[in-house]
Amino acid sequence: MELSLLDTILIALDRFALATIIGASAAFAWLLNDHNARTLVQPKLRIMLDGALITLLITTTVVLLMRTATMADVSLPAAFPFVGKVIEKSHFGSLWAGRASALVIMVALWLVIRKRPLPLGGICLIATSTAIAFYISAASHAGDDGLFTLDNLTNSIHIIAGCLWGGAVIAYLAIITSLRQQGDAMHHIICSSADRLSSLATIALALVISTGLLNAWHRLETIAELWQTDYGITLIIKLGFVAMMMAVGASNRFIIIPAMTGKPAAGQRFQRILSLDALLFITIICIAAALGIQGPGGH
Amino acid sequence: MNTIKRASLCSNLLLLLMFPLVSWGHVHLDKSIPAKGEAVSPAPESVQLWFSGGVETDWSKIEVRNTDGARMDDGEINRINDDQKTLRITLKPLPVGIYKVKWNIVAHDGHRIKGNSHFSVK
Repeated sequence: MELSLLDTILIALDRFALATIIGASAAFAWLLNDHNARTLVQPKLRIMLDGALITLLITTTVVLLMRTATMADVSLPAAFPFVGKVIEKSHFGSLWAGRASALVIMVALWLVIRKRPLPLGGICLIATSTAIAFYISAASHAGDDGLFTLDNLTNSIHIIAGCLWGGAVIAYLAIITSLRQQGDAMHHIICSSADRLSSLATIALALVISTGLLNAWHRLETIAELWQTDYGITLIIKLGFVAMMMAVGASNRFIIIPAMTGKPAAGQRFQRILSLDALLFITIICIAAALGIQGPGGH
Repeated sequence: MNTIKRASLCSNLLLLLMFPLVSWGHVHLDKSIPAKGEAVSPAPESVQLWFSGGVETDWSKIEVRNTDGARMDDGEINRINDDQKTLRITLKPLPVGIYKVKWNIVAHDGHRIKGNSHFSVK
């Protein structure tokens, strides 16, 4: 498999895992305010978090190996002897060490709270996810002028908000699937948590847009690159998917969720729409990963 | 849906049109001295490269060769005024002629960028 394709798959998996962790943590911290519902949903969210953490551990390790191979200009199997030097003597390596430390803290925290995840535990997991997003951002152009710059801060919030937006949708799918199995008794919880999901998504979207605009303000070169390069065209395709996800979110907020009150059958329709939303989010992650590898073609 | 909600949705979609511009691409060469194809006199003492993002000194390579393929640099890469986005390589005394510059750079994000250029001493 070509290295750049592997890189794209790896980055997509990495961001998906981070989004799942943030979404499941948000479910513990905010989406579910009912103790019984939280107990019912816990097994599914626990499996989600286990899987996402294992994925993140794997992608973090493989990212280091792949970058080492690139930096040392050797094949992947020949990269192992250079790993130490990369961590010790490169900008990427020191950022990777920061990210790996945050991940170790996250895993330790999860092992402590795994049996009884409380809202505070969810907040702590989101805090460690923020640290990981900070290091991911610092390893991109946003970190060129240093770690603690407006550029890096803006981009870190952008990553976190995007993951919160999509991750919350994925976590809510687990919630609605578990709660609907209980029959109509849990319908009022489905409705109240759907309201909370919608509010969370709106806040996340506002952050994505505001930080996106700030990023654009810093980075805008020529708008013509959007339609003159392969990169720009891929970017427009991504925009199309983001717009679709926004439209789905808006219809949920203004039409679907208000119509759900007192109508348990409407829950199934909402679940189907959320599945589509989650699929759109996964597509956006894949396109964003491809963009990250591709880079602007005009340069 | 009332007018305010519609307006809010439309304005969000419009704002989103600017969303693609936030993606970060790979580092690229912004400027070099001597510039690509430039004829210079007197001969430069170094080749200096400015990139769009931070680059590594330990993992990057720059080669300057004459038309016979002989290396005309001292092989040691350093920075210009400690700027993380720059690289410089010192040259041996260059006689009149054409010189090819090849760079194989590692950016701060761990990606490799390759490129070449040429200049002449008149």
